[in-house]
Amino acid sequence: MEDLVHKALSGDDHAWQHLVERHNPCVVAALLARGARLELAQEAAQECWALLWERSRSGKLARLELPGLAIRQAQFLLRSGLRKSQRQAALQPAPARAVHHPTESLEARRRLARIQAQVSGWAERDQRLFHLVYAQGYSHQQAAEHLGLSTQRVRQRLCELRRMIRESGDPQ
Amino acid sequence: MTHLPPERIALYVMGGLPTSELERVESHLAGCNQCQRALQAELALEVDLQAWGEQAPPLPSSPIRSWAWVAAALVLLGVGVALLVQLSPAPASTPPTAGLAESLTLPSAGLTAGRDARATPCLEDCRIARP
Repeated sequence: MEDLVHKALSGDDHAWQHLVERHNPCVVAALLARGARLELAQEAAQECWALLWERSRSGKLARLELPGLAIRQAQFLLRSGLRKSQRQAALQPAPARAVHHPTESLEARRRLARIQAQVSGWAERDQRLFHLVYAQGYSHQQAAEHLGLSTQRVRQRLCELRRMIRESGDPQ
Repeated sequence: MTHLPPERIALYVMGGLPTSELERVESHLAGCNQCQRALQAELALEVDLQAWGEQAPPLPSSPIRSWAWVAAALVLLGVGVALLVQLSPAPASTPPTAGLAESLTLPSAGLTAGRDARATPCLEDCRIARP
């Protein structure tokens, strides 16, 4: 890993590619863990890698401690990006969103169909919970209030439902 | 090395872990390939779930809820019928005019008596005035 970082700092794009592939999920997940929306987290992570790469190319990056540096940088970009987008939203209507949609591939469509089949076989209460959180964008707390449950119970149930979906997709 | 339980990783991706735990999880993830793979799988699932949410069909209305609406409509109908029965005219065996006449007689009788009492002295005065 240190060798890869050293190569990246000395301008090896191939090494950069490896580092991004390895650490990008950690960066995106770290932003999600702090309450960012998926789409914004992905954008901020991409922007962060581009910025780090540019700094490295211009010799302004002496150390590359990953994924910590990338996470901090992405968090900063997310916050400043949000402030910027809020300012822009006040001045002009929001532009159309450029969403990297997984339905672009056949495999992604199959996965979505599998999720739908799985969800429609659940009890009504679980379907409602999943719909509130993923289709209607309710926070865990809002969903808990809506369903008359505790936030902890909502999270616990979501974990169980996600596990069911994960296991239904496993090859064995 | 103790790995992160799958539900901790799921909670981390869902933004459901307390802030105090984030650093501990992240420092473990940074040095554990197995947990990183689990994180990647969880993140891929999150991407799929968000995509599913964008095109998820609306939920069918609950049968319990539908029955609740039907029950509420029936109760309202019942209340309406009861009000109509209360306000409807009395049966034909007792003519409506009889009750009406009784209720009218009493006050009119009193009124007549009162008028007579007031009128009597006047009539007497008239009689006295005659030669």
